[in-house]
Amino acid sequence: MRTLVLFVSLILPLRIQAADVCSLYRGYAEVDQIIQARVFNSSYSFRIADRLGSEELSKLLGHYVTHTTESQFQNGLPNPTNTVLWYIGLSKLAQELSAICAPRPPQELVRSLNPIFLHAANAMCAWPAQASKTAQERLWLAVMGYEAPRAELEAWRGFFNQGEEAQAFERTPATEMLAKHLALIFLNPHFLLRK
Amino acid sequence: MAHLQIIGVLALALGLTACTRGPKAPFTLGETERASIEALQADPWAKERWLHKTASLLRYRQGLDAADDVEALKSQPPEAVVAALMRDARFGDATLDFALYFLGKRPNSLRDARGWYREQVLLIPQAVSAARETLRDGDFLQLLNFDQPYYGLPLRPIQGGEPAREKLFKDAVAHFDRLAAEVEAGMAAGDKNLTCKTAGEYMVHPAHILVDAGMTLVLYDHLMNSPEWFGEHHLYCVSSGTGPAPDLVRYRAIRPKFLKLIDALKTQLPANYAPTELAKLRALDSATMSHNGFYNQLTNRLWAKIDNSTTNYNRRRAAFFLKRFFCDDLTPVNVALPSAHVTGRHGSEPSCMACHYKLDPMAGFFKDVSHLGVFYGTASHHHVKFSDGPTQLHNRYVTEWRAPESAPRPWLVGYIRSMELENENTYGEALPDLFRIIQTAPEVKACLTRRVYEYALGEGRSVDASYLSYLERAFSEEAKVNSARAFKMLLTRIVLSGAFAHPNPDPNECYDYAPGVNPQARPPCQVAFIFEKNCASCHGPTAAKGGLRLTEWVATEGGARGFTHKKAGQQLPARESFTRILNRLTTSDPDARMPMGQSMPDPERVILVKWLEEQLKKGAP
Repeated sequence: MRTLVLFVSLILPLRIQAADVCSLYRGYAEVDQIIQARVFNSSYSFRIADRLGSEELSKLLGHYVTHTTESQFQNGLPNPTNTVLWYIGLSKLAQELSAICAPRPPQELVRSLNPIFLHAANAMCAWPAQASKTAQERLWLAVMGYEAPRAELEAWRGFFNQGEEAQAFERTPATEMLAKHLALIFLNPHFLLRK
Repeated sequence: MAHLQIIGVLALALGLTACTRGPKAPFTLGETERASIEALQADPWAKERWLHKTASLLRYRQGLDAADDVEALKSQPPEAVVAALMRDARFGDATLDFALYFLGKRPNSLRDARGWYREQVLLIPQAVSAARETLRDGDFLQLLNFDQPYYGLPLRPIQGGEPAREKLFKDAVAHFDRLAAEVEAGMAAGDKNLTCKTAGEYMVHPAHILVDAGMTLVLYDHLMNSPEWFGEHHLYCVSSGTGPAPDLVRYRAIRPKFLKLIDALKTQLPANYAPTELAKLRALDSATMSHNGFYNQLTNRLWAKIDNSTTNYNRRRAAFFLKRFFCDDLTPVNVALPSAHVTGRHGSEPSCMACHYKLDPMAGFFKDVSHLGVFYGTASHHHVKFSDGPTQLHNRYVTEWRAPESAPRPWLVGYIRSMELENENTYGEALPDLFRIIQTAPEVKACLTRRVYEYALGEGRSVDASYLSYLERAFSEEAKVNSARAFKMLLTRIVLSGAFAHPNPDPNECYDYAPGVNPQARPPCQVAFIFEKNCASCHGPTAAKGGLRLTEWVATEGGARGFTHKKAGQQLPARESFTRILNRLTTSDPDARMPMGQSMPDPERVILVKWLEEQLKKGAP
């Protein structure tokens, strides 16, 4: 829930620039493609609609509609509904992916992941050992790519390593921590919003 | 004599120097890109970030993957990395996505879960052809060619599999022949009741069977609407229930085409055709369908579905073409006032004429085309049917575009650049002329350049006009040699631009200028960009209404810089020019308020007004 509050507080102020394309969500199709390319391999077809349980709901995340003349991007402006839908869909994905840190990770999941992501995420399973801290940057780059300025990476890492809750995080299981790490990347405005 | 020899040698040497320093060779990068390359080489984090961003753009969001040797790529010069990424088949999808963006069509994704290109993508064959051509360094400018083949989807799988499909094909032909025989017998017996009922069955039913055999509904629509197929009879008999008796000669002419179509469909069987690669896309045999470009139901979907209602005639189609191909985003005010249309006032009011002088002649290109995109022919007895129901005799309809007798041309149809200077305009008569104009007009190449920039960096980002002109000039020159390579060079220049390389560029800042342009001698980027976007069609490089060119920033009397603004051939002092512009931006008089007849977003107007007020406060002479 804390993640949701953080996410909403980051995203919704961007509505101030309502007319600015910078403030629009990328839409479900583009995010599907980005996650597909950075997290999964070609044996698996990622669709956020599957996490929301409905094709129609995914359209509320932003999508193109073509009528007779030109395509228009609809539902891309952040609002409470699509913001919560992003949160639900991507938190669920983060939760699913964190299963690779379970004592017996599901082999189907492991086989569906691309090697760069798998390597970075596996290293996080050593949490809270130092090896996982040094793997944070790799995980960030595997998922976020270079969409965000470096300061965002530092802030994200700082949240887990030096923030108010850092001590509590040290006692949190790796599975849960991987989910938190991933959710905060997926829900970062640089990941979800258009440039 | 010795002096003359020395002078001759010097002249020769200077001449050679001039030759070597003359026009820059095509397909080479300039100092703008070199500076960016140096900056990238100096900062490993920036280089790696740029590498991923570039890969994501050129591979249609796929980015770098485990198969890429990132360290090797990082060690290569940026331009070599770009060239390598462009050799990847995924660059075809990026080009296709751009081509669709240029034409105003954005599918949510290009492919379905099977990896096949979606039908909505294949139905814009200009885009598909441009992408295919780019991959093989062919003619990227097929993007502007409206006479294209139809890249179909495989036939839909059907119950009973291929044996069932084969039987349906045979049934379709048998049905065709049986009904034709009935018509023939009936006509010989003088049975007048045959007409539309039999014609309807004769035409429609065999085509229905082909749909059952897996043919797409798009092809079915084509068969029903194309005049070369069943279109004319379909129009009369199925739509209105009346019309001429079936024409056996015509039916017999269709039969070989029908058989050819079935043969063509068989090449699209799902077992041997999966449209997963651009290079392997297969076009249906063009002999099976009409391909005159401008009335082809399969390939004119770009525009044919835009209404030609009784109130807009063909202006919506014209507006679409102006926007997509000329980047002329007409945003007229007050067009939603029907009473103004009915009384005829709208088109003649000065503010409205700001758009209509070019919108109406452009609409004339479509005067011989139905609301479904079918070519009427120019015969006067045809009725033009509008999408909102009413009809009008074709010869009355076209009088809207007939030029006065004194005019040097029969029609007032064309692409109009200037109301005053006719020789700046390009006139024509019919749709093929418009397509020719699109392929040759410099404005279209400029628009294409702008859209590539927007596609790579995002819409709404400020960009210096000199930089866009620089890109456009290079693209136009290089396209004369090879348009696919020119497109690749254009993209290369853009990914090597300062704006693209910047980690978090401010949308209101300019990061790139044409070689030799001093940024200090330019108006602020955002201001210049807003003027360019809203005002340049009347006050820009091709037109200087009121003597004002808002795209030129020059030294004026007293040393201050201002826009080129001439009265009676004399440049106005900057202060007077700024004051005049400010007044026209802030007046509430609709006949004087700029931009004339078009809406400008309020935040943009505020930025211009504030900037002009600042210039006046600073005491520009």
